[in-house]
Amino acid sequence: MRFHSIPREFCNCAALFLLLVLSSTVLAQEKYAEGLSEDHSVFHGLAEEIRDGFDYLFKGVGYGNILQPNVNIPVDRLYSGSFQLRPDFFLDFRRLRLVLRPRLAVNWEKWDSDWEIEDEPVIEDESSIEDDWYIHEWLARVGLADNLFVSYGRENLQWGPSFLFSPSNPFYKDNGRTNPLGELPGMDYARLVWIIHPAWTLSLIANLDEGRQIFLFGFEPTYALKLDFTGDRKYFSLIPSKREGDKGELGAYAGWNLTDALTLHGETSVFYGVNPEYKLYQLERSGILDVTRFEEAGLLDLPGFSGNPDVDKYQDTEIETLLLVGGSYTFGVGGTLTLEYVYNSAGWTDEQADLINEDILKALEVPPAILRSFVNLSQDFLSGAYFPELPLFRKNYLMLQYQHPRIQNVLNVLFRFTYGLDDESGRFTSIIGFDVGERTQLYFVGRKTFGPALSEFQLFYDYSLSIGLEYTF
Amino acid sequence: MEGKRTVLSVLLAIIIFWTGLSFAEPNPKEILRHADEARGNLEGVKWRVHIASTEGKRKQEREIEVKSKAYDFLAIFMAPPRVKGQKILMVSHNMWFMRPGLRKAVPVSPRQRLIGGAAYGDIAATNYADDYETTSLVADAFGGEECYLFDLKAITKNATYDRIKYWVSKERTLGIKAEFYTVSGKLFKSAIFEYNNEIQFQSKTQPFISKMIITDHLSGEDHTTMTFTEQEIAEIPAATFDLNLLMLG
Repeated sequence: MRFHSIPREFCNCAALFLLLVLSSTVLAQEKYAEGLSEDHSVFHGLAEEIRDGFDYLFKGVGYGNILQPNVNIPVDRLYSGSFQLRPDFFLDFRRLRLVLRPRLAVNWEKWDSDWEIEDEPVIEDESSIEDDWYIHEWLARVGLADNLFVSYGRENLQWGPSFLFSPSNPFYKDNGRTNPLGELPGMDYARLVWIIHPAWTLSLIANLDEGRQIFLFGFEPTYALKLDFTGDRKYFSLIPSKREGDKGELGAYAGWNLTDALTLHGETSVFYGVNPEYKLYQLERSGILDVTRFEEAGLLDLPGFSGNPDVDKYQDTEIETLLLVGGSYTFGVGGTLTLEYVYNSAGWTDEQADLINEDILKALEVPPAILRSFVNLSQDFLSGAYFPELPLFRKNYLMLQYQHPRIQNVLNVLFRFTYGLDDESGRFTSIIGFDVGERTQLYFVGRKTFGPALSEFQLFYDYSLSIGLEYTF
Repeated sequence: MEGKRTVLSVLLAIIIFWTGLSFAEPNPKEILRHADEARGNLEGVKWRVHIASTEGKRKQEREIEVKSKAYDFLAIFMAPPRVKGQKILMVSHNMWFMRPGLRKAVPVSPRQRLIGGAAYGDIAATNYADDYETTSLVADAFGGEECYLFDLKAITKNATYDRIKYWVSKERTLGIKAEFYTVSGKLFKSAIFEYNNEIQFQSKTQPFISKMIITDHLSGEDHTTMTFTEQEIAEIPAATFDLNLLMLG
């Protein structure tokens, strides 16, 4: 069992809530006791105002998951489960809005593996159970005017019309749309939102802390400007951003409603590519890979690999583009069909992919320390720590999705097939939600990968099955 | 003098004739505009909608709070607990769906089903006066009331339906029945409307929709009833409809 210290921001938020709620009610009672009827009405009014502005949502979530890794992975099977209490508190007090989302989670994980290195099992901890207590999100926002708002808090900032992932978002590419029960971790942001005109909004966003997000290469603050336009049946946004130490990125998205049933959308980002050797040494610095041992084993035979750990981040790189275009059609009976295409200019060519696959194959036959690194990396991927919807190793992808909500008023289904055009691998995802009464929803989530061995979607797992339940108190 | 009298008589006759024509042949657009005003097309209004739907033998209910300004609206689901906090936002005919836990607003089309026979677009105020052209206008009756029967064809992409037959009461100038047709001419949905609510707007009291009963003809005559209550004129700031401010909470 593991207990975490209560985060500082929780104390700040809780103090703010308590101060507002308690002070007003206590003072109101004191004044009442003193018989100061005039003041009493003021404080009573204040207490009423706070009470009227307070709201909450309380959900309990439980789920279990079986994941079958692929033959490349030295783990036979992963079982996991989680039970979470998710209260959300909201307070609107005049120009102030406070949001607090504390979480209590009990997580269980069990790894099955017969793999051994020098007579020792590759997985040291076969099962673990831990409880975790944290602030998932919080926010304090003040309206300086009817059209000007400043806020600070921990959020998972998402935008854009795409279903597969969000190319225009410099903070999160993964939009969490494949797991109905999971919550994406938040980061800490200071934001200023200025509604210039009902059709135009300008946001200044500063991402100042990593919050609960995990970074492979370490966190650096990122600053973005977001300009939104909403016009008749169309909208677009421009998002220039700059991460400290990087050269900057330009994101954009747009949507058009061609008819009441047919919509088109697009999202893109243009950015400077990063030298792959630099990324590799970043992995080493993060403690994930032992690059020296890889070198010694002759595994890093990549073209252009110099063996210089201080290689410049942008050496021999070009401007890269990530582009997603798609469209949706809603049928009269209620189902919606969506098609999306992704182009990733920074993705591997066939030649690069073959070389890297060779390295992975060699890695399975090499000294224990390297295999241990690979196991650690695999565990991180399989556990979901670095498990985005689309790993984006390659250049071209297609996604076809059919979503049909409220069949017979109780059944929600989503079927999605994501296909890598370059290596002909793919993944089928189905999410079935079933309403049970007024407070409960049951979920069944299944994923199955297809394709050649060591192709992108086949690299880590073969299939996963989840069953979950969400109860609203 | 005689000439002046003749001119005045002719002018008077023209005015009487023109006025008489006006009463006999009311402007279809004006009738539709008046009917639209009783279905939410106001400068800032909020109301609650209770939706009860029967599909097969399954009953479902929703309680929704709606804030609307012209044709933009924000709908927040209040009940049942399972859907509390879900939101639908429509701005300039762009529509998004949000639910607690899902951090990204999902763009949806107005045709997407809300519950039972009600589509997301049915929450929105109507603008039949501008979104449709009248292809025929005849006299008819519904529920014992004399009506104008409009045959409306969509002329803008904003229209949720391709073709509508719309019965507007002659006496009250309110839409009391509608039939919605697919492009192929098939009847797929019909609705009847009641106006037992009132709202104060620009110093005058005007009727406001109180009930909409939708029959889904594609799925075996299932019924969905939308009941409108707690309607009031309210100042709705632009921030209410800003996605950047809506996602958290």
